[in-house]
Amino acid sequence: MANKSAEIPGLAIHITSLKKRHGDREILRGVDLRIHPGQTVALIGPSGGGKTTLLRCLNGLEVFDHGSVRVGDCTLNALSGQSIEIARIRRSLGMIFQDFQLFPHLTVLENVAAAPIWVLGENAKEARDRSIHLLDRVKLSEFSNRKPMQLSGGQKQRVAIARALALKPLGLLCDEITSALDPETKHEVLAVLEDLKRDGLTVIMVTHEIGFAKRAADRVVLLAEGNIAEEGTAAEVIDSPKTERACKFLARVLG
Amino acid sequence: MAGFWSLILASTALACSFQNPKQLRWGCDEEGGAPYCFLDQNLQRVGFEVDIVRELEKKIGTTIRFTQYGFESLIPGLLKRDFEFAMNGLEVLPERRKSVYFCRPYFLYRQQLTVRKGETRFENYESLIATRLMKVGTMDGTAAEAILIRDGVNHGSYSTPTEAFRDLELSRIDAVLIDLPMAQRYAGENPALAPAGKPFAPGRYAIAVHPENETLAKAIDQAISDMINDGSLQKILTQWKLWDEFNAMHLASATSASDWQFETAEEDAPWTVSRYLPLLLDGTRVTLVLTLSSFALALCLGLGIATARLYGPKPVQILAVAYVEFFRGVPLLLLLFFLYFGLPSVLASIGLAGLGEWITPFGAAWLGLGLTYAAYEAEIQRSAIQSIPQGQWEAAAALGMTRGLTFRRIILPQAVRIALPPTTSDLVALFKDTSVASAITLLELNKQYQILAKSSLKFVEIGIITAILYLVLSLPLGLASRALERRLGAGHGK
Repeated sequence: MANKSAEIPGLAIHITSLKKRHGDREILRGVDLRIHPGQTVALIGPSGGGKTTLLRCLNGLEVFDHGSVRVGDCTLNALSGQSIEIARIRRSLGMIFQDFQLFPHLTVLENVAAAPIWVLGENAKEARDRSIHLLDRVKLSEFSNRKPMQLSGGQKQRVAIARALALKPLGLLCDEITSALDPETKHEVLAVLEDLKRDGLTVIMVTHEIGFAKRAADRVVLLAEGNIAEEGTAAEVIDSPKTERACKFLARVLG
Repeated sequence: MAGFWSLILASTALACSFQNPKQLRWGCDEEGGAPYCFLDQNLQRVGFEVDIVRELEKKIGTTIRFTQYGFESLIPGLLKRDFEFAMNGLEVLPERRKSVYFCRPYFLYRQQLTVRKGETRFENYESLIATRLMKVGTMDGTAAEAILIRDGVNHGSYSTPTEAFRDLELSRIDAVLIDLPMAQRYAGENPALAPAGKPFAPGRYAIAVHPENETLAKAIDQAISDMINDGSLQKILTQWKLWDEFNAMHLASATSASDWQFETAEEDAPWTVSRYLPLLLDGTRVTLVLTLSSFALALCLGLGIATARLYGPKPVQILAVAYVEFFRGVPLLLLLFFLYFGLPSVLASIGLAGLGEWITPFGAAWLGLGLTYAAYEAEIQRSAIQSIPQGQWEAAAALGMTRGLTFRRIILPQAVRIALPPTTSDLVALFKDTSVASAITLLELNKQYQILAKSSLKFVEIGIITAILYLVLSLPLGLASRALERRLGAGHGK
């Protein structure tokens, strides 16, 4: 797998003075962030700090009030609704959710093959073969014909990863993808993620797994009260935080 | 002199046998009952039977109170003793003679076929039968209806002559076969209609009395004889333009006994299972086809309304809400009456008279049931769609699916599973509601039951068979949908 990494160019993501309000509450207060192709970025920080909102602004699930987002060669501007740009971004940037959101009426295989067939217009045979291959990769190919409700949490999340990969994305957005899992199954999912990192995908993950962030992330960004409180390598941000806000947060999560 | 004595005798007998000797109850249907008994423009009850009853009061020496009762139910009502006698153009039919006592006839009717002026396809009842294509209107529970059933003529049975003649004018039916007095009254002065052929199939109108009430029967028999003898009956009938040669020749000698010289033996065919079951099965077929076709309409329309309400622009949403509230609030019976009897004139007034001709009983029932159940279906499907978590929309969006694609492939299939149980009970409710269509002459199962039960008076026997037919249809309906639920339900959930 590792030798494939050269073939997949990761995705550059530029976030410029991004602001987002929700009623009276300012959720993002002007975030600037540049992510290089193939980087794995961990977004950490206290709840309500804007991590998930930032993630959702990147693929147009959330409309923002100010600033801009550039994903590869697509640009999203403030207050822009459904557009071709969003459609293009969504094809190059897969997303995985905390609560899986598999489609319960479809089998595992159909969940993975759905977007290739319906969105990309691949022929069904080809899409299925590719989907089985992807399920193989997350070690679930023997579950192809099960319905999602027959799987454990960790298995569901691995299906969700395979489903996101089926669109051949250049990047992945992971929104607290291990939060709903017990400690044992978390590792199945995190192992898959580390494997993907080797492929050269750009990965942005919102996470509370500080240990995993430290091990797997090239960069760690600490978001608090809608601002970037601190950013740098995992070693810089987690082991020797400079700001008081970061120290306070890390002291709390690391106990 | 004999009349005088019998009058004394009769009133004495009455005084002994009734709890309230001064009052008798007369069962009659004044709705659309001209010239028998009806309300005139001043809302006074008039008619030749009203005049005969006045004369009866004098001859028997008692007061008679009018009791409104549905025409088709007069015989059962009499047997239940809701009134002491029934008089409302009741024909002396063989099946009726088995259960009630008919007094001496007070009028001899004949059947008259009425058509639209300029009808060329047939000229009388015989040539109409020969065409095998014509639809004939008549009234519920009449001798004419029995004749049409006997001859296997496609027919519609109305509860009032007005509706039958209206539908004839609207070309929904090709002819009306009805007792001569009604034909004269309702079609005689209508320039668009004309009689076809001579009056035929004579029969007798007589007062029906409970078979155990011999005293009253004798008193009425005597009173009618007196009215025939003293000319008061002829006077009344002449006033109402009903006195004709046929009555002049035969009324004085007519009895209510079965062997009346003009009665044909054919009409006395017994109501065996093999005779009525084919008619019930035919009604079952109509009920089934109506159920399935109107439910299909309700499902499609309901889904349209549900999506309009959820995703349409504001004015469309308001319209969708208004639709649901309107059709949930309007009684189905009222809607069917409007669609069948009212809509053609509405269409005619906006220059679409041609369209009105296409509103058949089946068409109106299909539309009415479909429109009504679409309102229920819209609500079921709306709440099912809304119960799918927002996360499913987002997950599909993140995979690049458009909203339309997401709705069709992701949301709707899940919503269908959720909507299935309430939709099933809706289907069974619609199935039973098809019986309402009997009110607009559709010959579905319930209507066939009514006609057959009233003609044969086998209410229990035919009723049980009809109920079994309904059950035989609704049980598999329920079982099939539960099986479907299990099949689709497996694997539901996150």
